[in-house]
Amino acid sequence: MKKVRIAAIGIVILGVTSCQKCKDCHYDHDGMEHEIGELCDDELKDAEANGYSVNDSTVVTIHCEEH
Amino acid sequence: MKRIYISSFLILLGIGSSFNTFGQMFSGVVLEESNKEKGIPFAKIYFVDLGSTIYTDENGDWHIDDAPEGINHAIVSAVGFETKHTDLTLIAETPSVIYLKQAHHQLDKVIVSNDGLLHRESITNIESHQLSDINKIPSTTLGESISNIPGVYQTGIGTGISKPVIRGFSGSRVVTYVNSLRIENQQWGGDHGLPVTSLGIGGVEVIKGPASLLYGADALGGVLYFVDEPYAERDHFNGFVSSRFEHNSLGTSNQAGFRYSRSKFRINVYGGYDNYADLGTPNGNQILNSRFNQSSAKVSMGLNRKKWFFNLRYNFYNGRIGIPGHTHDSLPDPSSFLTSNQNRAENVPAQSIQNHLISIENKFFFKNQEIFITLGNTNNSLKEFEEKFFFPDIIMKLNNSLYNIKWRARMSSKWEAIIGSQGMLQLNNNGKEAVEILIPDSKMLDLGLYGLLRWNSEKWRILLGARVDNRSIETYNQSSFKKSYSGINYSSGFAYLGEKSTVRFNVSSGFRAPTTSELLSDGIHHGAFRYEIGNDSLKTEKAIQIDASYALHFDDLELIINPFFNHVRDYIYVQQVDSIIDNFDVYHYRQANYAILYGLDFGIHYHPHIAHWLHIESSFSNIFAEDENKLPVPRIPQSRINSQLKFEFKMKGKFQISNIVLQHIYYFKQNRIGSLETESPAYHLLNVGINTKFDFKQPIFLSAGVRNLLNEEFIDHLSGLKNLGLPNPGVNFYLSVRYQFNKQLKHKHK
Repeated sequence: MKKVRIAAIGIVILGVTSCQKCKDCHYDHDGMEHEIGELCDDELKDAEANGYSVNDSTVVTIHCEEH
Repeated sequence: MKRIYISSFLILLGIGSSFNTFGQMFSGVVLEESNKEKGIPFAKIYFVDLGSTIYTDENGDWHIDDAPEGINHAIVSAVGFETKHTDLTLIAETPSVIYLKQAHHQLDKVIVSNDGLLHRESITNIESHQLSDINKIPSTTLGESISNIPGVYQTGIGTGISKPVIRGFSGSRVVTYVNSLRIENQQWGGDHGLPVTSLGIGGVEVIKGPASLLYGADALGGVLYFVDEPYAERDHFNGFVSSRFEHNSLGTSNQAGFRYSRSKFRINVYGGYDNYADLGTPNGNQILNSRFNQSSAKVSMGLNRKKWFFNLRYNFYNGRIGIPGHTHDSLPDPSSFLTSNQNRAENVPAQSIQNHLISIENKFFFKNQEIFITLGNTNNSLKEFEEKFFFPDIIMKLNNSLYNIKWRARMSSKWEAIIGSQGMLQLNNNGKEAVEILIPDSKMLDLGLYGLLRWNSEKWRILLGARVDNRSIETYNQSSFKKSYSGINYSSGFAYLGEKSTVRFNVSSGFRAPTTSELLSDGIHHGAFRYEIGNDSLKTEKAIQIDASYALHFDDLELIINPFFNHVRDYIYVQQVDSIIDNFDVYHYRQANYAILYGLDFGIHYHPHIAHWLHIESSFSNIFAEDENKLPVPRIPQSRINSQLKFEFKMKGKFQISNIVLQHIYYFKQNRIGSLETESPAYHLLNVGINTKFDFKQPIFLSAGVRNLLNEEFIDHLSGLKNLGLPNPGVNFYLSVRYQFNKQLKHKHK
C-alpha cells in the first residue's frame, strides 16, 4: 500500500509540474536574420502576441520555429 | 444539451432497471458433430452482445445465469475444432446443444471470413481481423497496421498523420465506427488522421465499397468498424503493461490495461502514451518536424440484467502532431525540410487534437427480438499552430451527437428482419481567437431510416434492404448557406457458404452529400499545403458497386478472388489550378459527371501438410480509376503484392519462440496519374520479426524485428509529402515487451 501511495504521489507531482516552454527566436530585418536568443513562457507569449521590442523603439515580428 | 443527455441516460437506466435483475439459469452442451454423444471439454463460448465468456466443463456441459432469454449471438471455439458462429436460443430449463466440426488440419481462416460481426447484416465480402493477427510485425500506428488488409492503404503526412484508404477512397468517403459509435474528426482534411489508436481495440472489420444502407451518408468508399477488446472472462481480473521502442524515430509506445469481470458487472480500463521524434529517412537525415506525441485513455463498463445489457464507453485522445514540409518559399528546396538534429521538442507548425468520445449502448432482449439503442457524443477539438506556439491560427470544434436505434426480429428459423434509424446533429464552430477561418460555422442534421430482410438456410443467405436519408447543412456567423440533400439507397445480394467454397454477390449503393469544406472553404489549409476554394453548387455523389467474391477453403489451402466495379455519379474532386495565393498552390473543388473505380483483391494462404510450422500468405490488390473522359483519377494507390512467410513453433520450456515472420511488399509503378500529378516508381519493402514468450506464471512476451530491412528509399504514391520530394521512413528496428497477468476471483454465491 505504501508503494502505491508513493507511486500515486509521484504521478501527481509529475502531473502538476508544468514544463517550461523556451524557444530560440529571431527576427528578420533588412534581409538579415537577427538572433534574439531564448524566450520563455510569458515573455515568449507576449512577444508572439504584441511583437518584440528592439532597442525600445522598433517592434518586430519574431520567428521561433526550429529550422 | 447536457440536460438532454442526462435525462436520456436516466430514462434508459430506468427502463433497464424495471427488468427483473435476477438471472435465470440456462444450460447446454457442446458436442462433436461426428460423434453426437461426445462432449467437448473446455470449449470457449463467447456471447457477443453480452461481452461474456464461459467455458464448458470436462464433459462439455455449460451453464450461464447472466444471459437474457431468447436469441444470443455466440462464438464457440475449441482446440482441434472449427470455430462456429451461432445464434443460440436460450430457453430456461431447455438445454441448448452446439455441435462443432472437427478440424482435421489446423488452418485458421485467415483470408476467408464469413463470421465477422457485420456479416449478420451484410452480404458483401467483409474483412474481419483480430488486431493482433493482421500482422505479427507491429506497426507504428493503427492506420499503418490496417493497411496490411487487401484493398486497404494509407495516406498521410509523416508517421503521425495516417488516414485509411479503402479501394481508392479516403477522407469523408470512409466512415469510421468504434463499436456502435460513428466517429467524426474533420476527416475531409488530408492531414486529419485516423482518430483512433490501437489502445483497447480488439479487432477491425472493413467493408470495402458503398455501405450507406447501414451506415448512412458518406459510407460511399467503405466502413472501418473497430471493435473493443472483450471484457474479461467472468470472475477474472487480468491486465497487461506493454512498451515498444522504435529506433528510426526514437519512438516509444506504452500501454497498460486492466479488465475486471463479475457476473453482472464488467469494466475495462486502458491508458497509453506515445512519443516519437522526427522520423529518419534512408539517407540518414530526419524529416524536420515529423515528430508527434499522443496520450489516450479508455474506459468500458458493462452491466447486465435479465433482459437488458448496458455498456458505457468513453475514449479520450490528446495529441500534438508536427506538420513537416513547412516553408515560406514559393520554390522550396527539399533539403530545407530535412535536419540532422533529431528532435522531439514542441515545434510549429503543428496540430493539437483532443477527442472525447462517449457512448451509451443499450440492448434489450426478448424471445425472438432484440432492440439496440445507442446514444453518443463525440467532441473533436482541432487547433493548427502555424508560426506561433501560444496562438493557433485555426481553431475548430466539432461536436457530434447521435442516436442509433435498431430492432431485429427473427420471424422464423429462416427469416429475419431489421428496421433501424440513425440520426446525427453536428455542430462545427470556429474558435473566437481563430486567425483563419477555413470553413464557416455550420450545423448539419442527418436523419435516416432503413429496413432489411434476410433469409438464411444452412448454406444460403439472401439479403435485401433499402434506406432513405436526409442531410441538411446550414451555416451561420461568417456566411449564410442552407441546403438539404436526400438519398435513397439499397443493397441486395446472396451468399453461398459451402463446405469448401464460398460465393458472394452483392450490389449496393451509397451516397455522400458534399462537406462544408467542399462547399464553402476559402483559405489556406496548412496541413495540406494548399489554398482551397469550395464550390457551393456541388451535388451529392451517388455510387453503385457490384462486388463478387469466390473463396475456396481446403485443409491446407485458402484462396479468394474479389473483383469489384464501382460507378460514382457526380464525383467530387479537388483540382490544382494555375494560381498561387500567399505562396500556396490554389485548389478548386470540381465535380465530374462520373468516375469508375474497378479492380480486384486476390488472396492465398497455404499451410503445407509436410511442414505444419509454415504459413505462406500472399495478397494482391489493384485499383483502376478513371473519369468520364477516360482520364485517370488522381491519388489512386499503387497495385500491391503483400506476402508473408510465417514460421510457427510449438515449444516447451520457459523460453519459447512463438513465430518468426518475413514479410515482402511489392508496390507496382503508378503511371495512371491525374493532371499535375507525378508518376511513382515501383519499390520493395522487406520486414522481419520474431515473437517470443517467457512462459512464467504471468507470461512476458518479447518481440523484435526490423521494418524496411533493406533501407529502401521510396516515396509512396499517396504520401502527403510526395510533392516535396520527402521519402518514407528508412530502416526501423523495434523492440517490444508485454507483461500479462490473469487472476481468477473468488466466485460470489447468491
